[in-house]
Amino acid sequence: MKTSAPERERVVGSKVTRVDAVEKVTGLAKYAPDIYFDRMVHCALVIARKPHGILHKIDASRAQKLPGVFGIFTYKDVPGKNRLGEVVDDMPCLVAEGETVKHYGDVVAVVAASTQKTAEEAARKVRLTIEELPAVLDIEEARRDEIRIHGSSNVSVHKKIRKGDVSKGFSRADLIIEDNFMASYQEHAYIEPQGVVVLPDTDYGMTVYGSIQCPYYVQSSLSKVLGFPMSKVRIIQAETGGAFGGKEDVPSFVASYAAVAAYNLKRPARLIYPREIDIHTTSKRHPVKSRYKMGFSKDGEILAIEVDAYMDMGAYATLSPVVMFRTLVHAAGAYSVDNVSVDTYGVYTNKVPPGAFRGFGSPQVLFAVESMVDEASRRLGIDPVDMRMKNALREGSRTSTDQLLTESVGAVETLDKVNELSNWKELNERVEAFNRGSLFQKRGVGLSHIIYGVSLGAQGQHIDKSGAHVQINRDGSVDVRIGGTEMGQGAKTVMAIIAAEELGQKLSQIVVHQTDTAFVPDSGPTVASRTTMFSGNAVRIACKSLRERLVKLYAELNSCSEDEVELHDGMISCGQDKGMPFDELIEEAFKKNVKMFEAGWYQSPVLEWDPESGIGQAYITYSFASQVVVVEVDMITGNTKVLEAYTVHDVGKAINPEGVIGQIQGGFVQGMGYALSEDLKMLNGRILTDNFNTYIIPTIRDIPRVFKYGIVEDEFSEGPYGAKGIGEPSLMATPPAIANAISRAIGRRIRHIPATPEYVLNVIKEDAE
Amino acid sequence: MRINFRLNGETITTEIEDSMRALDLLREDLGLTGTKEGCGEGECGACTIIVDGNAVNSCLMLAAELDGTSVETIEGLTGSDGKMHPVQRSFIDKGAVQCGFCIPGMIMSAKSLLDKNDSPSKEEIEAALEGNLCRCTGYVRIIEAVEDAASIIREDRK
Amino acid sequence: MTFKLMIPNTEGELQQELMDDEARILAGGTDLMVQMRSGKVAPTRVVSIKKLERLKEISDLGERIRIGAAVTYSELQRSHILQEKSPILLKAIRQIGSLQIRNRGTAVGNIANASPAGDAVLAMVLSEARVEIMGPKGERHESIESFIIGPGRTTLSTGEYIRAVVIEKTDDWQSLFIKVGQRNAMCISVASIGVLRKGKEVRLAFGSVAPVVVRAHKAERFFTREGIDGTKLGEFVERCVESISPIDDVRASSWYRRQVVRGELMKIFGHPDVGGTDVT
Repeated sequence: MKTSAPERERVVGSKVTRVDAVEKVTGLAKYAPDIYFDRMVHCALVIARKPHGILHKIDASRAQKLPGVFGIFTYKDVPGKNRLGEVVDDMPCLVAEGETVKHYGDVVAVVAASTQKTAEEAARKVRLTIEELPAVLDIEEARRDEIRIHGSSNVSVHKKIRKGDVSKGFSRADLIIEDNFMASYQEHAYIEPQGVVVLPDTDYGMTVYGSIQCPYYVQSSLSKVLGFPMSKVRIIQAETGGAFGGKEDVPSFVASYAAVAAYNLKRPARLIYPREIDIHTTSKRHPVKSRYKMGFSKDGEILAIEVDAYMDMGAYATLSPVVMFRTLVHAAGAYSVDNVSVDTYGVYTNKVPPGAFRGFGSPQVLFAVESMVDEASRRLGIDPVDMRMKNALREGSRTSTDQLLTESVGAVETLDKVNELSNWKELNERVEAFNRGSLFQKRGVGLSHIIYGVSLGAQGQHIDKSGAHVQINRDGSVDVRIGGTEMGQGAKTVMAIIAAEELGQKLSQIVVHQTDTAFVPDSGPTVASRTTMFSGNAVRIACKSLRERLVKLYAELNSCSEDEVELHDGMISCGQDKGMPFDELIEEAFKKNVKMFEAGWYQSPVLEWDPESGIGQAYITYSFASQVVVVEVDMITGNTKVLEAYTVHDVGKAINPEGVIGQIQGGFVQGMGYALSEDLKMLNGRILTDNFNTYIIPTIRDIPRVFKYGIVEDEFSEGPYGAKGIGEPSLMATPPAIANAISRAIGRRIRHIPATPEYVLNVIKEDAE
Repeated sequence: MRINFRLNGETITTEIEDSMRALDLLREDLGLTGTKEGCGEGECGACTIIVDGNAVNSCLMLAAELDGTSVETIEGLTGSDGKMHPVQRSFIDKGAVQCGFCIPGMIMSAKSLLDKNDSPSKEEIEAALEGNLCRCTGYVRIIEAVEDAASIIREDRK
Repeated sequence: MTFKLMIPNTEGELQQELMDDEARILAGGTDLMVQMRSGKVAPTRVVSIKKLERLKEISDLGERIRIGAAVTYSELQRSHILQEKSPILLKAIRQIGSLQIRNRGTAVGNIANASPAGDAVLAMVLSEARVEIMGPKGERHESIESFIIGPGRTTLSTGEYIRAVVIEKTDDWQSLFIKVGQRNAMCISVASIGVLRKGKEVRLAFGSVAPVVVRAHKAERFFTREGIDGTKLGEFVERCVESISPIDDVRASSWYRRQVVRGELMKIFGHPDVGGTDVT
């Protein structure tokens, strides 16, 4: 079959208008809190508010009496299994009397009332009798195992890589550096908090509308909690106001709480989290404490790397074991190293359970390893770009898990391009000149170079697949349904572009619907920068079959050769004929009863992996990025401003360049917040920074004045049109680039993120006092 | 209590509870769900509306305080002919929209600025939008969109 | 948050409403609404001053400026008198909250709220502000420094309200306001420093580093008496630091606050060419 005619302008790679923008700028877009049903009740949660203890009694009598309260539901009211957790189900839906409360945000009861205000007031009146137990509040304390949170040890997960022989590597090294790093929590801070509406539906089951990243997770969770077959649970994604991983597994919990109320009251139940409840109870980026040892030759070759990383899993494992897989694979960075030893451990504490967050366990270690490489380049007197270039992965290189890279390795090109884009040499001279004339402000240039494994990888390959359903209606409009979700990243626009490219219909005639489990089979989660590749391939496959039928029909109608038929921008033609509008051809297809719908299915290629040695094909392919930033540090306050940013990403192929740029800019600023200001503070297991006046995310006045980006397209043969992923890699290059820039500015190493003004001032003053 | 105010050019007379917030009146009683709630304490700007020409957080205002005022919400920006305001058009054209949850508030802040100043500098745009948090876009294109809308408005006035 | 809302038409009615211990005044609402939502305060009556036109006035009293209780920050920013005669207040206001907050929040509200981090309070302390209070026993005036007695605490008693604040014109002073926060916009001061200088005279105030915004009176006198040449600078800075008593809180530690205040003062007064061009 002939693919899209090369002489025509393709939709793929062109500048298009976001397909869901009109509804979003006019206020018509429906997010979960905007959906109302008759007889709907409003829910609020009763949380433990103690870090560790035995829940003796739940007394709802006072709350029950408030006018407008319809019900207060506890573990006794859960119809199915009182358990939650996508990967490890070690978390109760509602903590039962006699059981242990394991963190401040543990949910004990759900209140349903006539208004939000009444529900919240009643929730405050529910009395919990909790016998407090000593709490485990940090990684070191947890490792001592004096107080155990679950089972025999708090250190419950361990993964490793053993490649080559690190002791041999170190013995050959001219320079060995050892250091410790800490990457603290990060809150997703999506602007729309968690929210769902759950209603008993016309199929005698439950339907959920919600702010959801992974509808199939919600479906499976609800089916267990309600004791319903999955066929009686339908999940329809509402517009989702940002997710970043924070709406991966958490909406399963949110929907489960609301479902308990909906089930017991037989009424629609809505649960929208106030920001404080959202921050107290939902996942975060894992705090990771790491110890690095690296050996280098004097000309900068990395000879060995040894890493131990401990992650704080909080009170429940939730997604931590899979997050740790990514930590493991990314711990050694974006380099070709013969001798690698990595150990990652997951540790229980009496704190909020972290989970998925853009980068999924990799930003913490990429920050550390890039700090190490920067330090080595400084000590060896090698230019930071040359240092990376020397060790960068190329076609034919092997990764830290000994995976042979055979194609789409744009690493070196991103380094070349960022060098050029930032005018690296001249930039460094400019900054040095500034510093010679400045006493209280010091500037620094930082570089980072990162790798990111696309999609779920070896440990998630059993769920790495996606479906799509494409149907052409009688009027020529096209329905595209995918199992991936739109949460702001632009999935709908990419899918519409692919459908328009393949079918030749106008982009404006393609509707990508809200994800609905009733239409598309389990397509795995919308995570891991996999949607363009997985849902995209599924849509492309479905559209190709439809296209074949349209080509055949047109050739028959016009007695021409199928090879010469072209479809483009709403017209179909053959050779030099005058052609026919797409819509008319569809009319003909309907008259002739041609099948005008198709399902598409794409699954991950099989990855060979040995979990014992951590050796094998960790991911189907990798994205790469290189970044340069210039910071200015106020030596009196320790405050850092990012002045300039240059970032280059290898995305395989930019199907929607506008969307790629949006991800690059947004990921940078989110990474900047993580690196500098987003300091989640706790006291005795309670989060103190529970709203935006204390949890400090970047505003419009915090972004760099100079922001330049570059895109490298080193195509990947399995990806649609060569595409890989950009959703997460957009963030990861930033924390190490900023940390390295601060380190260069103040002449001391930054070992902790966020590098808040107070932390930086501490480092500046370290041995001065 | 009973209040009277102008809402997107129409007169509204309605009965409200004393302690109701302006945000809840708009969203729940009047069904104008374009105005969003992100934090409930005036830190995120998702609930921004324009009252007597000034951008304010509707989560920090009582409904009763709208009495006698003229209120604009995102729903009022699109004409009855469906024609969008230049700010809306520019947000689309410049790719300033991602998840969209902050966008109604962001657009109202921008509109309030442009009503007063059709040639804002970059600094003035940042000052007008500093109370609107966005977690998706990194703000770069939002600034470009406001600059673009300003130039369209200036062009239209010629 | 359920309460009865009163909207008096006259100040007489306002006084009546305030005879209830549980009543709170609503001006801009930017603090009260937040405090009611969090449950920090739960008044049964809320009294709005929006209909009291006289409280919306800014008046030029010659040497002083009177600012009514309902005047918003944005109105102050637009006021020509303020622009010309109180640069320090405008510098402080520019750094308060966001535009939305400044469009609603009031300078008098900042006094009533009595936060140690109040940026406008700091500027008013430097402007020798006097608070005009009305109550059952009539009118009284008090200096802002004695009126604010602790975090969230003032000398206001039942039935009393702040009608206006009267500040000195300070356009013949050089002024500097430094706010150390956690980001460039919408932040609460971690430490703030305000300086007015006229020849050998200086006024200094610090925010977020004591239970209330503090004036460094001792240091000010030292400055006038001894100057800051040579070794005197260090002594002067130490006297400034003596006036603060910072604590650890969610935003920063006491150590950090001290470091920053000391460092900024050394910069302002010790290196006029770099940091202190505004005041020296």
